[in-house]
Amino acid sequence: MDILWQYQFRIILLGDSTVGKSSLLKRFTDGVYSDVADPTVGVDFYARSLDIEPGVKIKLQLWDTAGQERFRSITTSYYRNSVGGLLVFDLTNRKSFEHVREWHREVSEHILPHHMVYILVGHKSDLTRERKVLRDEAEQLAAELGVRYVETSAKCNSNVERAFELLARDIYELMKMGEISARDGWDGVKSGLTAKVLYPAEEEREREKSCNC
Amino acid sequence: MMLRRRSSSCSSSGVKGSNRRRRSSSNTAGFDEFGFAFVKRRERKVQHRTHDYSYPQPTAVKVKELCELLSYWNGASFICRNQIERFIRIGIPPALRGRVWKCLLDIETVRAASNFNYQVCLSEIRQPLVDLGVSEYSIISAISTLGDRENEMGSTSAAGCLKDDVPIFRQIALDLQRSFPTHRSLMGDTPEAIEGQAKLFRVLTAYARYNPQIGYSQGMSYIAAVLLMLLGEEEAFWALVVLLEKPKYLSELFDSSLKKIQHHALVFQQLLKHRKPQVFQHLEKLSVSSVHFIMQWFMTLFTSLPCWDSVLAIWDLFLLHDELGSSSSSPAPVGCEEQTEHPEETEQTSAEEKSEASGKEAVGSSGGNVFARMLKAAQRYLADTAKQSTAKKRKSESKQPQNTPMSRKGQFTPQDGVSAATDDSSPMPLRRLRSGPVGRVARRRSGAQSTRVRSLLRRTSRGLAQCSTSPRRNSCSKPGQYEASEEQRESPHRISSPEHTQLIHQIITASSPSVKIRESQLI
Repeated sequence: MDILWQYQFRIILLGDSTVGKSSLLKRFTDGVYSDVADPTVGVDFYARSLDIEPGVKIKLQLWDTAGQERFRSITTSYYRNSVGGLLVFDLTNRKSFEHVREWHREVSEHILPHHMVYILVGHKSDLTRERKVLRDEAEQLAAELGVRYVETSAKCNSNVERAFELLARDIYELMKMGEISARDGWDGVKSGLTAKVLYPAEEEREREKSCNC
Repeated sequence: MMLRRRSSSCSSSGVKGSNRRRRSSSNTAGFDEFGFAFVKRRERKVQHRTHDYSYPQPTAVKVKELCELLSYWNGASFICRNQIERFIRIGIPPALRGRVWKCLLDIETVRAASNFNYQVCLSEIRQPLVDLGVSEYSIISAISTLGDRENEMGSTSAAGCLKDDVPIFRQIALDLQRSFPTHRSLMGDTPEAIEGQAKLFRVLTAYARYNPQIGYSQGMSYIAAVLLMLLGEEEAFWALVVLLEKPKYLSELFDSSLKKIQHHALVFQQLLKHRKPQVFQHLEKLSVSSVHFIMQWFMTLFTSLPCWDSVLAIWDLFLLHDELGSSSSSPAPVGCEEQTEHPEETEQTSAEEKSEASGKEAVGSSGGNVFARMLKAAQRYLADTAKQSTAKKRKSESKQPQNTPMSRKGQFTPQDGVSAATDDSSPMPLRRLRSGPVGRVARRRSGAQSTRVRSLLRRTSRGLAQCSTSPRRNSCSKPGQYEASEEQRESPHRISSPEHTQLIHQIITASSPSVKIRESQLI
């Protein structure tokens, strides 16, 4: 298989049932949105690559998890092998916001002694009238948890790219600083074939190839 | 993975063709034969269930015969079961499917034997709900109310008896609109849909009461919704009970530990590794573990597949085969599986129970596993197709004879019908089928349904081409590799053991929303 990315980050989406995790991912990876989506049974899998800076392509491997408590025994096994996590809540559902703290705690405790890079995502920002969570509150929570905060809408395609990009950037920066590095037996970060190894001509050809699709 | 992008954006000729066919139907608003709404073209990527179905129906004579059979149905009788299997092979007319399922599941007996009363249970549930100001007819508001009440549950005395139920009810309410959101009985806010959702709510909540240990798990709503499409409300409830409680069906699958499904996944992983190492390696490389698609397949009972007639055909077979049939047909020694191609998921259950008993899911012990046979058969089937793909193109597809010389030479001898002399080596149900007068009839008839199966297959692959959407905007690709697979897809689907191959084909290649194993990857 051709490796056209320099790094692969494994990212997991967390949050209550029906906050819109799958919709967010479908919008991000496939550019589509549907008013009604099937509930995720178990774990679902998506991928997309991002150009994080010129010449550096990051492949994001995205794991969608079922929100129902029942599937926790399955989804927890994915925590450990993820480098980043989107803590998603529904801006129109107060409860899902209150649960964010629990999600954060659960995951953080589970992966000790390692850490995960999070981003807090307030989803369904298009439903302004039904909004139950204020921006300030969410920002406050984000500050408390020491994470970034973004409000997104899969329906209007607002900020979806940004949310994933911010997270990927954070991880990338931490990686450059050496805080995060690929290690054996951990799939959170993987490095692919770097551009430097390729001869320029070959790189060119690779580029062309990738354009064909 | 890349193909998915290609098929949706650039699209090869084959894909274009199928899009054109579809376009004409989607412009006419309405529902397909099974009640799924035609959707706008731009939404087709996310909603893939509708199709133009055109498969041959059994003749009026056969339908009459089936009706007669159902009128004197006796679930314990071998003859009845053989007869019904014969009809399932021909294809059950949709209008009669509800009756057939009722018979196969033996709902009446279970209901009579149980001291659980559905209506009483409903009224028990309804009263406290009314106190909470929630009704099953206003699901949307019910969700938020239930959400709020969850917090104050401790203080409210009226709701005291519902305390444990509320989180479950809330989850059920959340899933009502999301299970088959394009089916006419559940879609939007028409009176039919409101009633449909209320029914689904009642059936699921009643089941959560019936078996509080299991309660409600995502996935169940699909199964219950399918049952409600074909059966009356109370019948659907009992059918759900049978499916989720009987060991021969799905018992333990929805346990809160989810151990069984993980076990299934491990077994499948091993089978894949040994039977289809290439697919296995490919999935490994992509870090896709079998649990990702197994859960979708099993916990929704294959309703995530795109073609509804195929889903129903799988259900027909699933409901028919019980442990008795499956255990007798799953041979213990590994070497025997050559003769057994009998893909029902039921068998898998029993086969796995066996392997569980033996301690490990080593390949040897799961040799009788249905997936072993499915994979094997799929392998041979696909190898055959590959050989022929270059020679014959789409035109010949419709004229393709059922049994080509190759298959007669023994690729699928057990199911081949014509060469019935090797009876002894074939699995139990088939052996029964093939001996005696019933067997002769079945043999004759199994030939008759090849067209139907072929059409099913074609549609599945078309469905795949069209709905193989999932995500994965993945920049690495080998275009050439996938072109080949495109060609494959257009190649004639030769049927040697029609229904079995069909099932295998569908189960293995059909697209589950999560992970799609493609035909090309199987080769």
